[in-house]
Amino acid sequence: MKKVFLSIFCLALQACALPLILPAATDLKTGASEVVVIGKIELVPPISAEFEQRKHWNIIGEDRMLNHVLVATGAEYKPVDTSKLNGSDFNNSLEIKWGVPFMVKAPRQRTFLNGGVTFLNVKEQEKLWFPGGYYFDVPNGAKAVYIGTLRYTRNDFNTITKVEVIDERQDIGVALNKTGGSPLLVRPSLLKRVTGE
Amino acid sequence: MCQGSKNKPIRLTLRNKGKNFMMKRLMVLCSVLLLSACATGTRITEFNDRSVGYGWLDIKDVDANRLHAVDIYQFRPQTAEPYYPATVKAFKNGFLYFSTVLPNGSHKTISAAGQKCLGIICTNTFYKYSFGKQGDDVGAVTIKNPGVYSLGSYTLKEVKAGFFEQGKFDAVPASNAPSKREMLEEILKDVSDIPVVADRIKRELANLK
Repeated sequence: MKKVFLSIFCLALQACALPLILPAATDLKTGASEVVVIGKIELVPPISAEFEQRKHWNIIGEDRMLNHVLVATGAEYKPVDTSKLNGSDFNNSLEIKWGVPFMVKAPRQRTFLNGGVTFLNVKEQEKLWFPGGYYFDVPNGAKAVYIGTLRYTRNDFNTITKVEVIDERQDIGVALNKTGGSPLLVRPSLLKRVTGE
Repeated sequence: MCQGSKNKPIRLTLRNKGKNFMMKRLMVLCSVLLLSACATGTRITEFNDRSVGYGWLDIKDVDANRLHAVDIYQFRPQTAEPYYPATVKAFKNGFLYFSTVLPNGSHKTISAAGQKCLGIICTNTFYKYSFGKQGDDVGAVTIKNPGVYSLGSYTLKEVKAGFFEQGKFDAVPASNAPSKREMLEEILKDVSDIPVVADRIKRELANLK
């Protein structure tokens, strides 16, 4: 009983601060207030599951947390607080598998990437943080936009030493592969660096 | 010297075979676990290609007042046994820690653990200060050739956190740290049985101004 009570208590405490994930898109159909966003996020060198991540048998949903990067997005530029994982920073966040083109539905607006986080060890709360400071615009009439590859480069100690935006439009076809959508309907709108910080 | 990897959680299953039998099995299991705490790592006997890494921590501004463990983590090259438990000893109003078995690569002081004690009596709360796996600003070193490397001297300072938040701390360069010479002379006392390491430290001492 005690354990059940504690679990409920913990869940209740976290309820107001759980990240909200932008929904994956299965086609290019969107509502008037939405746009389909296609892109990719990479880490160089990639995380080694064998040597850098640690798994535990008793943590539910751990695989999902280890193999994805959570990127906070929003209508304004507001860098995430890297001193703690604050769920409210991650409202409307992208949950992306490293190095795999993604396709999500996002609000039709200028959207800022405010920073990302990935886990190395969920139980020990070992995380790596990634800087934000990029945004994309949605051209008038666009149903879908391609924002490019956001590539983070790290040094031996996991400090991010370089951030690049790379145009790899072949990813549009990969993302649309199972949807039957035409790449011609996707408008390029590459990520831009926020200036004047 | 022993290089250990973190223990995985182990679930003990007790069957209904009488209290004494269970107690015996539990005792044996505990003994095996205790013994295996260090035996899971690779025992290192060859020191020619290894380096000495040392540092010093001032913990008087945090909850713990006695350190019993400091781990150094090997970032590169990646390995299945990246943790190097350091020797820890109270020294000059702080704690000196060192490892004599660091291979070439990128290393960082990853965590320090301790308790609050008064004489020989300690509270049952264990404090762990994790330096995180991101960043090279505290306690990091890249070793290209076997030698003696300083991981720095830092003061740990408590940072106020919310009621439901985990405790936090900052590590700032220590202004009251002993000199490198003092630390190396102290380490030398403990490594006289490893001539390669002792010679290396003596050479480093000779090079210090």
